[in-house]
Amino acid sequence: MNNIFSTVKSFYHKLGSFPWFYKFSSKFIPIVFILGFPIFFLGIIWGIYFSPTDVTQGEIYRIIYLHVPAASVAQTVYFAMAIAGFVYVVWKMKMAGLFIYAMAPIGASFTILALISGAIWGQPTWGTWWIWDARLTSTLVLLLFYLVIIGLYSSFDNKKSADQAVSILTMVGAINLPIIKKSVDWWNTLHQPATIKVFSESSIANEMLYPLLICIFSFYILVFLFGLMAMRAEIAKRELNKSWFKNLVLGND
Amino acid sequence: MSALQENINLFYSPTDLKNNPPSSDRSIRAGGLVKEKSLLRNTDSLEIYFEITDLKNTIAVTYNGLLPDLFKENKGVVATGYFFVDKNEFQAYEILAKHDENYVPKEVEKALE
Amino acid sequence: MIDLTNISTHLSIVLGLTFLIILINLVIPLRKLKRIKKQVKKIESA
Repeated sequence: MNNIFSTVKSFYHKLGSFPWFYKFSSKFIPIVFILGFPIFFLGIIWGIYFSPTDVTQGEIYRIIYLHVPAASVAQTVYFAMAIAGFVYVVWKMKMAGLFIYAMAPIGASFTILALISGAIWGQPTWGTWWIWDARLTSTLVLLLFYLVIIGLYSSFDNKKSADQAVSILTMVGAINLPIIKKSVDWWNTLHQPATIKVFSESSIANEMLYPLLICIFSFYILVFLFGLMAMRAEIAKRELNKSWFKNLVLGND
Repeated sequence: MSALQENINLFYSPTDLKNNPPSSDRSIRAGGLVKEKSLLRNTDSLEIYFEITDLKNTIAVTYNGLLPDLFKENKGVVATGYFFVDKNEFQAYEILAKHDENYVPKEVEKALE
Repeated sequence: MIDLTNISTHLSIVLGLTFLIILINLVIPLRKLKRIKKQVKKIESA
């Protein structure tokens, strides 16, 4: 029992260590890359090319294989940032602050993908590329939070105050996440309710569902990859004058 | 609180229009299902008539213009326009199709026919 | 199976945007790291 506890404790300390994370991510990144991209291509080729045509929407529904994964990671990345925000405020863990900084642009870019793919999907199906219903509006609010978080960093000279302010802002914005999720159930919206259901049967044929799940999974792997890369680069930036980093760069080349 | 609900909800259902009719001087949205067999098309113009139902109440809609491809009887619709409570009629200037969350392969549908 | 006669510009644009976003998220951190490593080497040789 003590062994498990001390292992977890030492992992937690390693996670907070910039040098450890830098070295770990450098080794881990190629593995995630080699894992992620084949799964991504499998998912999108299966979904976009091989899955059956939808009886209602025809071929245009295939945007689902990009839109839903993008929307999913857009929300989850924010959720992870909010947890990191909490960790930073309570324990002042540097790595948590760095996590938010690194993930925000990634989350923002996938929110943009979700919004634009949704608009392109909506135009031929609904008859409009935008509407101010609760689902679309709250997703746009998510993007706004991402952008404000990114912008907030540049308005601070002190890194610690920036991390503190951003952590609080990120946590405040988390209230938007259940709103995004539940908007289609709580209010009248143009956007339809969820297709993939966790506790009951999903309202999508299996031949369409399986590639969709693979695409969603692959987006999570890719975002994990981008996160590792972004965090590694930011650690390098913050530690470039430290001897551990200098030795690493000069020793290896 | 109800004003907030009004703004968060995209559209009025036919029941909402019956219980809480908005004034006809501002543009609002009405939504529901296109009532089966209610669709009437004018032969020499783009004028159409149909009914929106939420299975409890129904309102009549008139519209002049193009319809989205996905507009169908028994399927979801969101109309933008003006509601005239005295005539119980909704004059729409925009019709959007609201599709549901179901995805069914085309071949399966054919097999079921 | 997709009806290729109907592949539509819509799908292609969304696919293109996806690849672009993936590319950006790959390239930017790599270049940032490369720049920093170069900076360290420059300082050291100075």
